[in-house]
Amino acid sequence: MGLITEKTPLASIQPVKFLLNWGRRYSLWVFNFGLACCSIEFIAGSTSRHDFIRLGVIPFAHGPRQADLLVVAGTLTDKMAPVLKRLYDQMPDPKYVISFGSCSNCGGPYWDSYSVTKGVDQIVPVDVYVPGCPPRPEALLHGIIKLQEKIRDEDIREKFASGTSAVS
Amino acid sequence: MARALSADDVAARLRARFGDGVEVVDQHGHAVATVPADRYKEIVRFCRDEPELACDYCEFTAAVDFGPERGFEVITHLYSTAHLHHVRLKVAVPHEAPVIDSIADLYVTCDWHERETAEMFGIRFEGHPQPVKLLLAEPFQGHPLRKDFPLMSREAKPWPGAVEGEEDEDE
Amino acid sequence: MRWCSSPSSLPCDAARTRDRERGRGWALLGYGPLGNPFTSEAVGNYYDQYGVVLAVATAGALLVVVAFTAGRLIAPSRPGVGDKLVTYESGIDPVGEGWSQGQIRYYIYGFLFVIFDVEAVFLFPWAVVYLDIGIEAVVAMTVFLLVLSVGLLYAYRKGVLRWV
Repeated sequence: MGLITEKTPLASIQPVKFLLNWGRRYSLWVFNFGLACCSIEFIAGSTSRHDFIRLGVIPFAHGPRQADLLVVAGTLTDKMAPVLKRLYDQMPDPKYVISFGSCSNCGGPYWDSYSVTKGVDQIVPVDVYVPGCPPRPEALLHGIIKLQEKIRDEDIREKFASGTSAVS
Repeated sequence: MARALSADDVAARLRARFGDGVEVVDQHGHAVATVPADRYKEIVRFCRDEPELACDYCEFTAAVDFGPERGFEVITHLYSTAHLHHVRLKVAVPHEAPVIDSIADLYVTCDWHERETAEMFGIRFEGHPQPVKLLLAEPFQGHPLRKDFPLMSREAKPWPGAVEGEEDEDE
Repeated sequence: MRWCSSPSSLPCDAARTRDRERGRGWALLGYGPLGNPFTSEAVGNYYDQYGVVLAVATAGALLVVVAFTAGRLIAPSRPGVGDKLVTYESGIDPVGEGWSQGQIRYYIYGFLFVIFDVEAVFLFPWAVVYLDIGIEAVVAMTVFLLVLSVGLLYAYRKGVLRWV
């Protein structure tokens, strides 16, 4: 439906837009798609020392249908690519993707392998790329803050009007 | 009673049973036997059932590609948990007819090792119960660990650093 | 211990005396443990508690309605994109049915629970008033509990109390 956001220009009015974006960016539930070593850094980011929960990102959603942020952490192989696409599709809109680590950004150190997908942006649309091998948990926090800034400046009507929420 | 055999003892037993087709060397304390392909399964069974060898644990089955002249070499590493000694078997398999007996019925763990070796090198294991791909994606074609398999990324951009085996003059 | 909720600020004995002096006939019957239930004040108190329950229930229902309506109004919806409606099985193709056969032990467990929960529902108000009523209440409840414990013994002998 999205009567307010899609059918009316109400969502583009600054106060409403501010409110909706504020609610959306500080209540991200993350479906962590941990594949390899970067997932350990992701988990380290969820522990008490670095703690991305204080940014509002609640980890370990019970499934893609209860999440709105997908963090792809680790090397994506060609065999796993359709699984990632399906899980991304099963997330409800609006959804965001953080590509964590160099393997998911571009294939990383395995870019010349016969079975590695060189960059998850071939499969899902990525909002924030966090470089590193593996990135430190502080880099994850920085990436999440960057995503929150991106959501703050986002017009949700434009995002869904062009229908680019999913890569075909 | 546990009694680890040295490489010479293993050599003596294997040669006594199978004749001179078997050559055994000692590598870092492990007995490494090069065996002919037609007696491979027999020798593995002997290593498993003989009470003084008693190799009840198969660590891995893998292969190496030495190029078109020398062919493949299938390597099976066995270990005895009773006597605590290792026996490694190497079998030469030609490139043109890469077929070898499967030992998946002797060691259950070799089932998966042989599936991986088959998909990576294209070696056919005769008598394997389920010869399907293990690790590669379903639509993958080719055998990636063969030396003549082209890496598409390396075709586009060659390896920029030093290559193992080619010494740099500054080194 | 005598529990008497007097509808006025007077204690029980004084309230009884006052009403008797004013000639109210039913005052001669004496006050029960809850005091005089027929004054308008007491009637107001009686319905107050139900009103609280009704207010809480309405607030709960309103919460759900507001949350879902807000979602309907604000959340964008892309129902059929890609594999969105595929049954979740960690991303691989789902195999088998979504239904599984229920086990009889859950039914037995729920059944026994309901019976003894109803028994507890009878026990709670009894526990509040039995001291005022006296020995008859104790005897009656003992008989009730004995009848129900015969049922429990039967269940035990039948073996349904084992969680197999």
